[in-house]
Amino acid sequence: MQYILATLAAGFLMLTRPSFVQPVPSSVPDVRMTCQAGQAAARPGETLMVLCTLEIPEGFHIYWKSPGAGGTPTEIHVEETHGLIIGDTLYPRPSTFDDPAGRSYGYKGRAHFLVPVTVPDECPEGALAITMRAQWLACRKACWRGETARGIELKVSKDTSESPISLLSYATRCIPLPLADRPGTSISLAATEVVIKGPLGDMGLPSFIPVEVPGVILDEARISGDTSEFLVRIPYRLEPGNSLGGKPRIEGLLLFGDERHDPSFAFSMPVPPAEQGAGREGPVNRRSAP
Amino acid sequence: MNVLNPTMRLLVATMLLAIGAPAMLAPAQVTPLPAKPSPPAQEEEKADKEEKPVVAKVGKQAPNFALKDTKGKAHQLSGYVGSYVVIEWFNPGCPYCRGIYDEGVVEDIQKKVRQIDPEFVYLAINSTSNQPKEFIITQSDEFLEKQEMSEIPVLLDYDGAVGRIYEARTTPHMFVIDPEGKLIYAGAITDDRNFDKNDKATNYVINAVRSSVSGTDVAPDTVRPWGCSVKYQDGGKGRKPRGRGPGRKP
Repeated sequence: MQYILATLAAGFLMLTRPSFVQPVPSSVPDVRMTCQAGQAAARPGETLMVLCTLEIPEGFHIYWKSPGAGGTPTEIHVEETHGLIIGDTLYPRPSTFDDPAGRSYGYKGRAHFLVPVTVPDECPEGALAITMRAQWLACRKACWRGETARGIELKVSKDTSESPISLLSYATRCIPLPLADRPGTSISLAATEVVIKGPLGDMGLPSFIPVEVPGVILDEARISGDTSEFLVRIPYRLEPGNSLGGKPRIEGLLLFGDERHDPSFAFSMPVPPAEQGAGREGPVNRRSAP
Repeated sequence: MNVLNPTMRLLVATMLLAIGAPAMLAPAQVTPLPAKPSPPAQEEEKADKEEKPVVAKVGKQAPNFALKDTKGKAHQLSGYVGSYVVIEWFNPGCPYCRGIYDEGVVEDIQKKVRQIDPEFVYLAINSTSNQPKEFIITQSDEFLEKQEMSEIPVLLDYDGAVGRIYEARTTPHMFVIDPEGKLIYAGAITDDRNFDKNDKATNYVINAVRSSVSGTDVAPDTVRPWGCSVKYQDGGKGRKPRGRGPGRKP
């Protein structure tokens, strides 16, 4: 009897320990990448998309280019470019994750990244082998860094008129459009805030995700609207000493709806020199005079 | 009156201990910051709403804290006034945190800052709470022993109270405090999160100490940190999320 009770008590003790309450995965998450050219062949001078899809194991997430409270951005690069002109990676619309550290932005499940590749005018016909390399941080209760590379072949032909592959259409829908492409929507920059307004669609008020730019501090966006129009006010201030040599700009995403293919719009607005004085915060770290 | 036989008493005691165990593990050994006079009971709720939490701000005095390290030794930030203090938010379970040791970044800081200030103090603070506290202690100590850097004290902040005051976001997240107790830098340790720049990487911590010593402004004094998110305990007062949740009807 005593043995049974002691066993029961020991079991109860173990089950109530934090390690059982919050299991931490111990195995490396198997994030997989597949890459393919967005079309079978391209002409010299043409830009095609390389589509790289990351499959993220259930329960894990990886991060957007501006990860939010914690985390590290996912990066996709092209190695051995053979004279091809490689554009900036286009990140799909991110999801939002809230945890005790704050709000982060990234991807669960499957994420399609696009890398624009322009074939130079003088590029000879034939096949070019390029390598796509991805680096990410995959997290659940704990985090793992991961890296992988995939080789793909790009065909260059003067007479090609290939159609894009079917998945490219969906992947492109998930990439935020320029805010300027949204009809009737305007963005303006004042001394201390960015104001975005436009017609309300059938998906309700937008949400806002900031892009962290060195030397620019964005405060929480204030979002309001009536039955026909929305208004987003994003207070900002500048810290020129923390810009790491970059020019100040206000950057972010406006998201409508909840799905990854719902409309989202990106903006990147340089802060003109006239405004840089107004929203500027003086150096806080000046040493007091001896 | 004896209602329970000895066996049952043992069982009940064990269960009570078990229920209490997580609570006993949870609180970090944090000494509260200088206490403010308690408001009258009827005004408590109002005060809670109005009182802004103390947070560390670059350019201001660093908030004091008191934590015990993995060996049980007490550390109080105010006890290190007169020396430079470099604080690293630390989690040996995070690959970036391991990376800064494996790649010699921490060793470089130790060496170069010690040349400037032989009395400088390097503190690692571990706010990880996704594992039992005993595991955190063992993991931290074993990691630093393996790195042959067991002289670095790992301060335990299991309830994340100090991490939240300093708004530590990632591991690593670095803070530099000057000899007068002022926070002069908060942010990334270097600009080399992929550890591929070698000696071309900029070490923001060393630069901050050098600027401070030479009397020039520390610039940058704040850089977005990279690494894993700090694994704070659930239910605490986390950073105020930026942006908004999903769209809603006006």
